[in-house]
Amino acid sequence: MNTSHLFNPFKSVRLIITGTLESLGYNLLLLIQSARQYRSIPNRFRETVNQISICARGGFPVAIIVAIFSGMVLALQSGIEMARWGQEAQIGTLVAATMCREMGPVMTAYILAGLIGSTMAAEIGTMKVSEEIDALEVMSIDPISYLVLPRLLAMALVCPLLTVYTNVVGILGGGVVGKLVLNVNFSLYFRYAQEALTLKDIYSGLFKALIFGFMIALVGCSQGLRAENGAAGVGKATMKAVVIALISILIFDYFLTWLFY
Amino acid sequence: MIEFIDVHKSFNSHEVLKGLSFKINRGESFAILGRSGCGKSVTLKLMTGLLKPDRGQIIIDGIDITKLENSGLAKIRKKFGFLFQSGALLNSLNIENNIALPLREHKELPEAAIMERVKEVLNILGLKHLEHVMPAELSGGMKKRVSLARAIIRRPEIILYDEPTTGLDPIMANVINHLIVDLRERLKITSVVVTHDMKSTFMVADRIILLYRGQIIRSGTPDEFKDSPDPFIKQFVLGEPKGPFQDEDELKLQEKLTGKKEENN
Ligand SMILES: Nc1ncnc2c1ncn2[C@@H]1O[C@H](COP(=O)(O)OP(=O)(O)OP(=O)(O)O)[C@@H](O)[C@H]1O
Ligand SMILES: [Mg+2]
Repeated sequence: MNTSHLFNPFKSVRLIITGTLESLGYNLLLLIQSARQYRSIPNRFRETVNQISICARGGFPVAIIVAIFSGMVLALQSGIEMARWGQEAQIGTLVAATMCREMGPVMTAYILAGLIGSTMAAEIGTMKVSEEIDALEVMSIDPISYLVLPRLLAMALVCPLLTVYTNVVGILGGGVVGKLVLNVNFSLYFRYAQEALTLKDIYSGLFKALIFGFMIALVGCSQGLRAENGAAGVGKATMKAVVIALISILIFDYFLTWLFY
Repeated sequence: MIEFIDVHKSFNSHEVLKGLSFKINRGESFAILGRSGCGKSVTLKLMTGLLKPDRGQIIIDGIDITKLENSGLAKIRKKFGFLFQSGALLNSLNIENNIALPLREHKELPEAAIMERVKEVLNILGLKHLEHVMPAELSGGMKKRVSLARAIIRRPEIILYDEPTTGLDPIMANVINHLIVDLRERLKITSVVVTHDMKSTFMVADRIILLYRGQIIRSGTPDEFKDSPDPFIKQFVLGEPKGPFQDEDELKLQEKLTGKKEENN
């Protein structure tokens, strides 16, 4: 009897491992090929600016909303606990440190992976299956220089920039909850917040964001470029781009944190 | 100028080309005929290095392109203009930017000259005043013409036409046929035309090959094809349902089924 259609855990684990390795290899190759195209960066200036505006406008509204509520939840959760020992004023420390080191970059990256990484995979995937990429190649236009490079540069810039916003807005959100729910006054909250932050917290967070942004664009483009089999293939590429980006963000987050602290 | 030597190409165990060999001379108009799915578009993609053959050589101006890396291919590709079957216009650019793209990317002309040329080809193809329209707003036939405009704008030495008249009304189809003939006669451009349109074939071609089951089964001049008593040619030219041709899709299906059986055993 043919049982290949049934769920086979060993086979699926094997498929996941080979798939991951293949994907990793392709991403690495794409990274190297993009790096080789550095000379064409000045030619791609306009498209890069265009991509920056797309990424920033796409990510901004969602990032702000998520950031406000992350800050508020952080403040509320920790505040209720700390109030038992009369330490609720300390939430400034906690919110600021958590936002800048962890929550800011990771939340922003998650939002951008869902919004922008998926868009990139869908857009490039559609171009792949409708022969637009082939057309570029026949015209001796390198798709990596034309499509991938501007997106990588844009995301490497937009992700840290949005992270700054997310951090600021998150800390403000925490402050509002502190004031309204826990009755911590603003100046005290911000003094604690300021004291908690070292320069290292801020730049390590932004560096993480830069790596995440780069990674999201790389994964999105690489999935798009490998799309096959029409619309269904594009859908699959989009889904994979988001899943792979989310997982890689977590993994890289761990190692980057380990590197910095 | 273009030579295929024993070219094989398959996709996941489905063998599309099984030892294709032919030679196209400079300035010639070469028509490739065959039923849907027999590998005509694949042949054009092999010619430009978009696909790599599993076996065999593809020689363009004395260079075997199957051995070339990207930079070498880019040089060879400058000789080509390619009209894709689907048009393959960049959906994010308007018509003018689509057509001007190859010139702008390679900075071959000053901007004013580029605009001049874009106007010129749009005129030839009956697309005046469409510069600022987006591809999504065009009809299928218009897309095809814009795509043709993009293929010829760099004045290539070789133009590959994948079904240039499909989806066009008979009047426009005739304009395109005349254009192909004109480009060849005035500029000595080599053309490779894939088509299902017999009228177009007889009008533009110097030489014709007929593909079946991954190989050339018949070849000749349009005159030889026109009144040929050969059953293959006759069936194809007249479009008769009964004859020696089997359906390519059916063949593929059969191959798949027999392949599956062998796997299971
Ligand atoms: N990228 C690909 N992946 C898998 N199979 C492919 C691919 N490209 C082509 N094929 C297969 O190769 C065969 C030949 O395709 P091709 O597009 O060359 O046909 P064609 O002769 O141009 O047909 P038509 O006249 O309908 O355009 C088909 O069976 C198709 O399924
Ligand atoms: Mg075809």
